[in-house]
Amino acid sequence: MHIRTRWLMVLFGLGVVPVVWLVLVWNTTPPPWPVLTADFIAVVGLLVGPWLVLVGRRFVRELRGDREAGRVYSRILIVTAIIAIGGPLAGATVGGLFIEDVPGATAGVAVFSILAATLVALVGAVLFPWMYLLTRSVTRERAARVRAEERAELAAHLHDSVLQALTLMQKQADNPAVLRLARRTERELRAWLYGGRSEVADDIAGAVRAAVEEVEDRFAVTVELVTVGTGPLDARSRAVIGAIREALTNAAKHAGVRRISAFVEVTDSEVYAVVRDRGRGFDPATAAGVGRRGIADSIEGRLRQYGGTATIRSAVGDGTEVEVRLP
Amino acid sequence: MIRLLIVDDHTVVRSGVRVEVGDAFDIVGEAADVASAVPAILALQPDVVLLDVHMPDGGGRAVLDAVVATAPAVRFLALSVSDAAEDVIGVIRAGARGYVTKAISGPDLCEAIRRVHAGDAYFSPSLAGFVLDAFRGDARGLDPELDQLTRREREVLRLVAAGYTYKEVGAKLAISGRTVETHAAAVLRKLQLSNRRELRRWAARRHLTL
Repeated sequence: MHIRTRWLMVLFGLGVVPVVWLVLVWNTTPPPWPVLTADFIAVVGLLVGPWLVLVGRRFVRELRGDREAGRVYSRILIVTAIIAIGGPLAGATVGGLFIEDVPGATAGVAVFSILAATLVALVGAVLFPWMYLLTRSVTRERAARVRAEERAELAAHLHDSVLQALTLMQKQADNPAVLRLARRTERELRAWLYGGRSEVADDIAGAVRAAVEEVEDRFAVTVELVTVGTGPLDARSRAVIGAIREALTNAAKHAGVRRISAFVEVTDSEVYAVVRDRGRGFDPATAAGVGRRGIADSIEGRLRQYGGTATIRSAVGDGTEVEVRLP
Repeated sequence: MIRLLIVDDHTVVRSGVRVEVGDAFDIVGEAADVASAVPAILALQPDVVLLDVHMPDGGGRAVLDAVVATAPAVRFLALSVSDAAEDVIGVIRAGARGYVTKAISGPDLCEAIRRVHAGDAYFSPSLAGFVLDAFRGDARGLDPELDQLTRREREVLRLVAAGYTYKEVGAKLAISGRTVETHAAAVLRKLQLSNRRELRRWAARRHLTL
């Protein structure tokens, strides 16, 4: 059974009508007792009934599976019904049997029992579930907060202990295998600590990071990567990332240093990247032969296709710098 | 000789820093937590405090909040393994004049300490990146009242983020090293003083509180 909430509200509004009628009529001609009782029943039924349905429905939805609460709720409803129906019946019986022909007594008992039923219904079926739900949600919130705090504490601890140790290891270890392990562990830990970084890189910053990690692992170098902004991955940005990867690989292979810097900035108007090392460098004038192929094809070629530019500056003993722009 | 105080809750880090920069500076003390760092700074009045960002009880931010007003002559260089944006920008806005990560090499760390002592700002590549990120937003609908990075400042930061030293930045942009420092100081001032909408928006976007 599903009654729309709006209709329940309409019923509630209808319940006010008999009250108004009663007030209007009372001063002129007080209605006879049976009419008064009927009116009273209508008022109470219409005013309290919708609330019972509303709360009951919410209660059933929230407590699906919580049998005990459901049982208590249905018991309350039964008690309410017994008092509401039994009261007037008892009143009628008592009135009919003992006090002959006194409708006032019947009506009095009926009114009293309906009031009692209303009270039971309101307290038992509205107030009780409401408070129950309230305390339960408070408890749940508290539990969630405790969990979040615990996680933050754990993260802070890992950050302070393990991450520090891994950083120091990378600084002082000379063994490439140790270095690689420390770096990978640090990366995984950071990803977990700062969360949200998905395994699949679906933006430019993520893809650059993945490329950097790949080069770091393959050549046991450290790339100091700084990214600013990010954007969606498409054919154009893939070209830039390919160029960056190539520049990093060249630096890792030929520069003879373990530390490479990379900077990538994504703005609305362009993607700008610099890959730089302080390695041995080369003389651009003499390296125009076979060695240039890699640079020409994979960096400049990729970018020219999309209207981008690559500038490569290098001097012997002074490192190499690859600057990439794609509007 | 520059008098240095090291605040870090890790003994390994403190001794590591001692080994790396101990010859170049006069290390006047060490502190392992916020509670002991504050009186140590006030009593010793070091020239530069090397301040760990992540410590129990509020970290470097708490130390800065406690002493910046009472010890105006002391300069702070934040040192951290963290690359979380709120840590970086947070300590800078609290008054640190530079930020370096613990992976920094000894000579670079010495350079950063000297620079901060001289009253300059020290932007490590990661800090430069964060500042660029924070001051992003393009020229569209700019409020002239708001502090905005100038084009030159942006260029300087980009090169710092790409791993260039100040000297190299100056050479590349054909300006003097002194001018690069002026730009860096201006950026630091904007970052520390501005309550700009954009910075707040940036923080909100990253779910941070500054």
